[in-house]
Amino acid sequence: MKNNKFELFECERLREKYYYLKHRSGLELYVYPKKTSELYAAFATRFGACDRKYLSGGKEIILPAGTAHFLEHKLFESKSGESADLKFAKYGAESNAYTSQYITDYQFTATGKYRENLTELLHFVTHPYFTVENVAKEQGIIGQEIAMDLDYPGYVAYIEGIRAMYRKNPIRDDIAGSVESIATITPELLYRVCEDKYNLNNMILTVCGDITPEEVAAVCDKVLPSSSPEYTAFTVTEPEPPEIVKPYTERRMRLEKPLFYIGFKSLPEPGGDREVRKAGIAMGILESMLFSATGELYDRLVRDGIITRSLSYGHQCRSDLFFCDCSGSADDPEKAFDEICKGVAEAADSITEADFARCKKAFFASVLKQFDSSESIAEDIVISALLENEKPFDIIDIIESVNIEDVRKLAGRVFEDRNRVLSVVLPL
Amino acid sequence: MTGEFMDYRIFDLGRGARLTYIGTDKFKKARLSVSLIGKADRERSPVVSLLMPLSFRGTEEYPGSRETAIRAEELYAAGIGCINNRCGGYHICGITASILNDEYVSEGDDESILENTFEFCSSLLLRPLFGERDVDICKKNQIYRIRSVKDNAMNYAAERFYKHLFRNEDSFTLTGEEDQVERITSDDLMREHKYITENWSLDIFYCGTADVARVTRLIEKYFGGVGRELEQIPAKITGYEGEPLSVTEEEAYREGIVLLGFRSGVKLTDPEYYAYEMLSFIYGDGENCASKLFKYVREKRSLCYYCGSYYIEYNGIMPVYAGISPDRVDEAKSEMLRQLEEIKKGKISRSEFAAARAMVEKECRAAEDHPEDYETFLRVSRLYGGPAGIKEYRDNMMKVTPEQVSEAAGRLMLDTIYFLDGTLAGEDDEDEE
Repeated sequence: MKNNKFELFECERLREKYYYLKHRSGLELYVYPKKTSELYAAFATRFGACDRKYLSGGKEIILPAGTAHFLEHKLFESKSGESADLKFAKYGAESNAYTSQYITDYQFTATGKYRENLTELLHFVTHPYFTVENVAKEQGIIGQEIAMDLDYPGYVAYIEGIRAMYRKNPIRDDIAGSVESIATITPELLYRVCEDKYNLNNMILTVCGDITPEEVAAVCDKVLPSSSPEYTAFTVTEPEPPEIVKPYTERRMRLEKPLFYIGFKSLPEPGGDREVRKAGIAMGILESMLFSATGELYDRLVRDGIITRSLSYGHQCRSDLFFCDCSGSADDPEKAFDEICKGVAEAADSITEADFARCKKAFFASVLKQFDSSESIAEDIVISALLENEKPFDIIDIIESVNIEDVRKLAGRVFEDRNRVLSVVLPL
Repeated sequence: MTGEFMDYRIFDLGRGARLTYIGTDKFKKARLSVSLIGKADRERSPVVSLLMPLSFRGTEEYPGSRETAIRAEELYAAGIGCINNRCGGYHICGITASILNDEYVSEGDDESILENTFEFCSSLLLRPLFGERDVDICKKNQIYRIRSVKDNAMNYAAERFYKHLFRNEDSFTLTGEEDQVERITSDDLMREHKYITENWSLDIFYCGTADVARVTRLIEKYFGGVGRELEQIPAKITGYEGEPLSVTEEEAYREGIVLLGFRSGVKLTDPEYYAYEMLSFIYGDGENCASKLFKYVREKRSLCYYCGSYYIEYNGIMPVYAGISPDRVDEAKSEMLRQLEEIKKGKISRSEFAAARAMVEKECRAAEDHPEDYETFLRVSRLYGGPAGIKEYRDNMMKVTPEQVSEAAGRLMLDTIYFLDGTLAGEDDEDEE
């Protein structure tokens, strides 16, 4: 054991605790001991589909769309020919990975052989093996994945809506890229990206389950190097103009009823990480009041036959980007758009204390329920630590700090007329 | 049940009502499901399928859809959902709730979430309103649901595949056909609601911190007198002899989907059942990356992004699926079949067999963290007489040998080969500005 001193964090209200350590390798460790049957571990880097340009040794590196996702697929291969998936399967573990706009995350769940599985997780992600042949092979599999995504009308409505809102931000590209963009990826490029973006000072490991911090640290001591170079490969983003690209976009697909996606583009929240996080929570409460079945607007849309079934809704709130959206199906998507825009324009004045209190209580309860699942706990830590520079229990205080005025102000700011887009997918 | 991974108890509450109870303080949330179980029926099921969505549009105590949604939110974001499932010949409908255990209610709030949730579920299940306007909205949604299956290539392929696979049986879906739904009236809904609450069997599942005496008291208070003895419906298990039916259909999708339908002719109560389960783990279990389909069809041959198989225990059917590039359909089909032939010939490596066993062990253990898995498992066992618990299932799976798996593969009968040909394959995505 190499002098690993974990810090203990406890939350009395949640009756939960975890341990934190900045490992000598540079990796941040979050160990969350919990008497669950499944252990869930996530090893993640702050590198996703939107990281398309960065500086490395004074040189600008520009990546084709889909690089982060392609790399995620390829890291499972090993020089021995036995993929990491197979090794996990032998240990009775289920392995997986995902790439989001800002994160690449590798995970396993297991009910035994924790040391072996953790060793494999840390080893395969830090030992890339790329050849011309195995890169070419992956282009076929990912090409199939891209085709599958483009068959989902909901996804097409979403990505076209994003493209109508954003001109420069790489969020406008598919996470998997395109058949053409991934065709330009080479083994050399992948090695370069691994070296730059999979620097342990840019990564975290979260483990939740029936395990001690010392057991996790012992595996890290064994598998990881004793230090890593300082992380300098910061992503460069081009400034995004505040205006939308176009207010309306339309596609046709094999589909029963028109689908609509409405995006509200806003300026990024000013202030530090905590302010951005608070705005995100306030937005979550606001959109639930507006678009969920408890809202007067939603009730009217269904009662009057303007929309069919439920609305989906969400938001992205970061220091460089802020939008919220809602989507659904309607016979007349433009009418749905008009009615929704009319409804949200009145939001700042129509929110009542009672609605706000109820929604906030429900929001808190939903967060609390996440603490039953080792997967939810570990994945929430990945997101809060890598994207929000926040410790796991900070969310409780931030939820508490949101008041009705925060929500009203946000409603007045986000739902401006000129930054709305409507993306529709119509039947063939 | 002694020795079980999760300690559950089953109580016969009389009149066919049954409580499956798991008392545990392991979770912050409790799970409560209240279901009615009866015979799936071509005429009745489409009407019954509308009842739960209708109840969310308003009940005697919460007379509007907004009121029901607000009530769920007041109960600390109780995740209340409809159950409308089929299990072989049975139709299961009801309400499921994911609620905070009472210990986590905010200070100063002395309400009992559990009791209020029982009251709410009883209102939804037993006292819905049947207003014409709400009936119309639910019918439109149901018709939309039927039609919009084509919006998802995999769902559409599966629906078409099962239609062909069950071509010689009296097959129907719970949601019914469009014209059936069109004809449903408020009176039909009232009549069927009365029928199922009086004649179907009440099935309750609870996992949480409340003691069993409290739970049974609440059942008596809110659901006393509901239902009657469960009607026994024998499992329909058929084999297939002859050439497999081969069907290709076209639709405007980018991907192509291949589905193969095998029949075992084996019941859940037959000793061979476990060998078929193990076969599916080795051949194509979706979570087993050491399965033959994953290793050879996806990884070695790059023929697909996803592929797998699963075994349906109550009808002895093993569907096998892959999402492929349509121009490689012949390669994909032959590789999928070739891998099954390898198993028939006994070509199951030691590591493949060990990985499948390890995956079985993992899934059984993992169920301890997922009460909903126990609920489903125990319900199927109740209806079709399978293993009494997950431990019994696991113990029997561990006794299966590679030879038994090969024999099981050899007895499988290929009934249907279905291919949904995506006619947009290879078309570029438009990215106009």
